[in-house]
Amino acid sequence: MDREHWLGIAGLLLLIGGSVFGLLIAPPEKYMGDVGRILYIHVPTAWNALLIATAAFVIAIGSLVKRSPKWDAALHGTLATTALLTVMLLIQGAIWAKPTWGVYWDWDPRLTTSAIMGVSFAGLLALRASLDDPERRATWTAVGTIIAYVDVPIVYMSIKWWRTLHQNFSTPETVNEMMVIPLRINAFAMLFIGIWLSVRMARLSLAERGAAVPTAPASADPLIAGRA
Amino acid sequence: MEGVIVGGWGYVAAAWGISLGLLLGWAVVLNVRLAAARAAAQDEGATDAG
Repeated sequence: MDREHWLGIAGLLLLIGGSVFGLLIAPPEKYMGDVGRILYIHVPTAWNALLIATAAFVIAIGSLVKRSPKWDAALHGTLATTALLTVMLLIQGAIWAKPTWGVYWDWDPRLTTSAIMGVSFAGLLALRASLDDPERRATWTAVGTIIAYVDVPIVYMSIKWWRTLHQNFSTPETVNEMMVIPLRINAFAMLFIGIWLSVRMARLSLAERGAAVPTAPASADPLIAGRA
Repeated sequence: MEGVIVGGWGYVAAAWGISLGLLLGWAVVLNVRLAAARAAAQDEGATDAG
């Protein structure tokens, strides 16, 4: 069994525990009532989208320096996970916005910069898919990731820099302890699941590229053969 | 209490359902594609060895 499956299993168990806590045990939010429980899936998703995007940025620099298929595959994995988590957080946010703001969408700075992030990272995946030459694909993906990443700190700081509908940062001091617990559990759950998905995508990217696949019956590369 | 949103479990269910559906769907797609790619690599290796 690939060793990252343990992270996936841990993430799944934490997500079940954090979701049960957030949906059934944590108190309703003071003004939003039960709708406020969307917090426990939306905020962990957003944190990890930004975190894994940052990992993609670091890996992109490493990919340009190292020029190896493994770095490119790792970049592909983190890009795909960032795109998925960003789409998820946009959908969750829209669903949460309707009962609280009265609309599903508004061209608000936080929402707009997040949408740009989603389109950028999904666009990078489309760019990758359109390039056949592995060297060009790796270079363009890495350079594109560095350019796309410029938006990520802007997403994070948008609620400070501009007047926005989106609520400001919350801290453990400003929310009930019973709300902090499921938030933290689900944050680790989404982190573990995000890493698991990124590694699975990296393995797939390497396997499909056929890099380091020898002519023996099974690959000698543990990342491809599943013996890591 | 005035100003408090009452109900809204449908929105909560939608947010959770769509999120888990996307995660699960993507996980299944990834693992099926990876299994197929590994099987293809093994077949190719067996053919070359033969």
